Amino acid sequence: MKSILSVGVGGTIGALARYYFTVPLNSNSWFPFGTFAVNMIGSFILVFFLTVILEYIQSTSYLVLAVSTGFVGAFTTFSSLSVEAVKIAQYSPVNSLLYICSSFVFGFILAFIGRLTGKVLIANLKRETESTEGADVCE
Amino acid sequence: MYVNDALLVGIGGFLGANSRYLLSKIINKYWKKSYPIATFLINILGSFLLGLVVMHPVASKILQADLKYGIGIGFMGAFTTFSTFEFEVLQLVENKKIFIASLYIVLSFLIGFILAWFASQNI
Repeated sequence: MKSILSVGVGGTIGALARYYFTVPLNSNSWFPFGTFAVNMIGSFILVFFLTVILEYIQSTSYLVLAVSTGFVGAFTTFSSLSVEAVKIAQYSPVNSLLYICSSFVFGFILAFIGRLTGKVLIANLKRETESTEGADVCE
Repeated sequence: MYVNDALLVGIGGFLGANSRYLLSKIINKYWKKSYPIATFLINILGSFLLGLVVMHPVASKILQADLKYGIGIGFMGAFTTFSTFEFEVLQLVENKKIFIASLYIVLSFLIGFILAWFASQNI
C-alpha cells in the first residue's frame, strides 16, 4: 500500500511536470521539442539517480520508488513519441525517422553521462569518507 | 490551461504510474530472461492505446477534450516510459548483451510505431 502511494505521488508530479513542460514546446512544430526535452532530461536523471542510490546508499526505500518508478517514469513517455512519429511520417517520413533516431541516440548518450557523473560522485563521496576516517585514526 | 485539466492529468499520472509499477512487478516475477519484456510490452501497448485516443477517427471524437488530457497525457504518458527504456539499454550494453540491446531498441520503436499507426486507421 505504501509503495502504491509512493509511485502514485511521484507519478502525479511527473505527469503534471511533463504536461506543463511539453504543451508550450510542442505546439505547431515539425519537431516535438517538448517530448524530446522531457525524455532527454529524464534519461539523465534516472540513470544518475539510480547509479548513486544503488551503488552508494544501497537501499531501495519508498523515496527511491517515488523518484525513479513514479516521478521520472511518468515524466518521460514512450507513447507520445510513437504517436508523434506517426503524425510526422504522414508528411515527412525522413523527419519521423530523424525524430526517433535522435531521441534514442541522445537519450542513450545522456544515460551514459548520467552513469559516469554518478560514478564520479560516488568515488568522491567514498574518498571523502575514507579521508575523514583516516583523520580520525591519526588523531 | 484549466485547473480541471491539471486534476485529470494528475489522476491519470497516479493511475498510469501504478499500472506500470504493478504490471512490471507481475511480469518480472515470471520472466527471468534478459530481454526487458515488461517495459517493452508496456510501451507498445501504451503506443497503441494513445494512438486510439488521439488519432482514431471515431474513438478520438467520442472522448471529450478534457478526458483526452486525463487519459492521453496523464494515464498513457505516465504508463509508458522512456527513461527506464534507456536505462535498460545501457545495462544490456554494459553486460555486453549487444544483440539483445539492438533487438530491444529496434522492436520497441518499430512495433510502437506500427501499433500507433494501426490505431489511427478507421477499421
